[in-house]
Amino acid sequence: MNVHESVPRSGAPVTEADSVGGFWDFKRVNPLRSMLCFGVGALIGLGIAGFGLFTAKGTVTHVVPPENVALVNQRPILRTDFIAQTETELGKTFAEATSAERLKVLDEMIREELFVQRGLELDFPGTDPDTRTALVAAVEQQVVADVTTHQPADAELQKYFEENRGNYATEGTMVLHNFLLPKNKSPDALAAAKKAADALRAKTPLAEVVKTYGLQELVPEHASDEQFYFAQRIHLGQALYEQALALNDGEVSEPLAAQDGVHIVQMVKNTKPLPLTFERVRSQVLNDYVMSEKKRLEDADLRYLRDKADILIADDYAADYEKGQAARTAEAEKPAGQGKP
Amino acid sequence: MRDRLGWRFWGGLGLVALLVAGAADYWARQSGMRARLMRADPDAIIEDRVLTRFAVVYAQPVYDARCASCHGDHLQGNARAGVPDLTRPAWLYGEGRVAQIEHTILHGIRSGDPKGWNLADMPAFAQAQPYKRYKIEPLEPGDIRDVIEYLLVTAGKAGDQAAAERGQKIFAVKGQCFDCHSADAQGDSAIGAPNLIDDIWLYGTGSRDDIYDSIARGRGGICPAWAQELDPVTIRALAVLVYTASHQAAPRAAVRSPAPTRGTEG
Repeated sequence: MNVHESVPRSGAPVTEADSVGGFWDFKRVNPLRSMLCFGVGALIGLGIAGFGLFTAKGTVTHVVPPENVALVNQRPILRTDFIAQTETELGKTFAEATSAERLKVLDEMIREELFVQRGLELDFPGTDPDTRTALVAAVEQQVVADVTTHQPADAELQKYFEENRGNYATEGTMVLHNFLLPKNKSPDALAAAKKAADALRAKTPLAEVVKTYGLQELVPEHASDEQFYFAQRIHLGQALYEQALALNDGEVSEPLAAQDGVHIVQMVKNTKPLPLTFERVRSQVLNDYVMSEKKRLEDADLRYLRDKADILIADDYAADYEKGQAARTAEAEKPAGQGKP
Repeated sequence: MRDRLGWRFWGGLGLVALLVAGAADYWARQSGMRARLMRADPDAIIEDRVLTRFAVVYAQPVYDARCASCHGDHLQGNARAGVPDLTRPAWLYGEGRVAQIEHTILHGIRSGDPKGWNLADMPAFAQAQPYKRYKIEPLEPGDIRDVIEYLLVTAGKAGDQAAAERGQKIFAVKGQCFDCHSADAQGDSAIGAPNLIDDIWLYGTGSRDDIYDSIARGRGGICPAWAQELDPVTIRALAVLVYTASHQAAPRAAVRSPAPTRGTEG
């Protein structure tokens, strides 16, 4: 609007009454008209918002996007899923499937989608065990998606490797003789076993020692001489295994009394675990790192969900449950790598 | 003055209109190509050179940003990290069709995605419990060495024949290796069990030490599921890129300038 036009030619001062036009005089300001327009605008806005709010259907499209093969109540059926389903169901490539076969598969997928949607309406995910399991897995995956799609830098992996060096070593192996002096062979089996051990240390021929002291060599069934540490621990038992672990090649253990008699171990070859280089175990470090990050994220997510949830425990379990939770929280808050070898 | 201002105004407006029209045309063409790419039968895309070219160019920046950090700048993989060389038409999962590659990119390998490839891992036979999924007996150090000789001899390499004969029995009975790798050790692409006698190694170079590590310590590489991260068009374009790279002698030569000395950061 040109301001000069509102100034009277006579040059007399402009009064408020002069500048206010009539309702239909659109060249001059009319407060009533302004207020009315404002009011009408506000009412239309509220009306649209209210309609949208109370009849919400989300964004509706009547065109199927190219990545989908169908929309069922606006929920997409992906072409990739359609192709995979067709190939799995027909046992041939998608290109080999006829149009009729493809349509049949599509119809089945639409049927499935309709049933899934109905199942959601009926809250089956809340009650069906398989669906609940699948939901848990899906949420877990969503939580850790960033970890699996983020490739850690070598420096991160190297740091993890340094913090957990004990996990990255060759597997130790042992070749040994495990002799038993049965309780009933000698009234003082322990003393006799000590003499036998001394004889072995003095390089007396094995056959002679065995014959002289009545020793029995225990050989695990279907096992060869060389065994991994874990297997020897199973064969020897924890106490004897710990003695054997300390022996170098050719050394003989102190006799160890057990329920079946007295044991002596002669170590033939103890190949101790050797630390592996980062380069050699990089792929394993990566997997371990990803798993530990997944665990950390899952724990953090669970803590967040617990914090915002309203969980009530029955009186008979409440105290113990709280104690367990406190212990788990303390464990989770330990720095990474603590308590590992 | 008014005329000159008017000429400038209308000229500028015309230029803007041309730019907008050009951008709209470009957008429409891109949109059309993306729709064509998605509506095409994935395995038939390769026969359409224009579509293939579009897909490769479209996927390249995404590959560089998301995939190159593992698979390498030129899809060459990394045998130390167990990342496959995608320039070779040798496939661990499926036969390497575009649809199958697309499925792997979408849902991953051991990614946690229920539609991903999650059927099996390589057990760690030097551990008391080699396999988490079900019970398998561990092997002894000598058993592992015998299996290695069996694989090398079967692949036509020099090895200890007597140990190989023992190894064959372990492969077939005690270790249950045949269950995944098949009785002839040629693998099973339905579950991602590699061929062990074709001299293509996912981990290492096929030396005795490398094979020992695989049998003793187990393997279970991960490829992420990208379904939640990338849109379907990009994923299909990536599948075409990978297929193309694995079926040409000089991968990516047509779409890329010479390789930098150090890779693009993913």
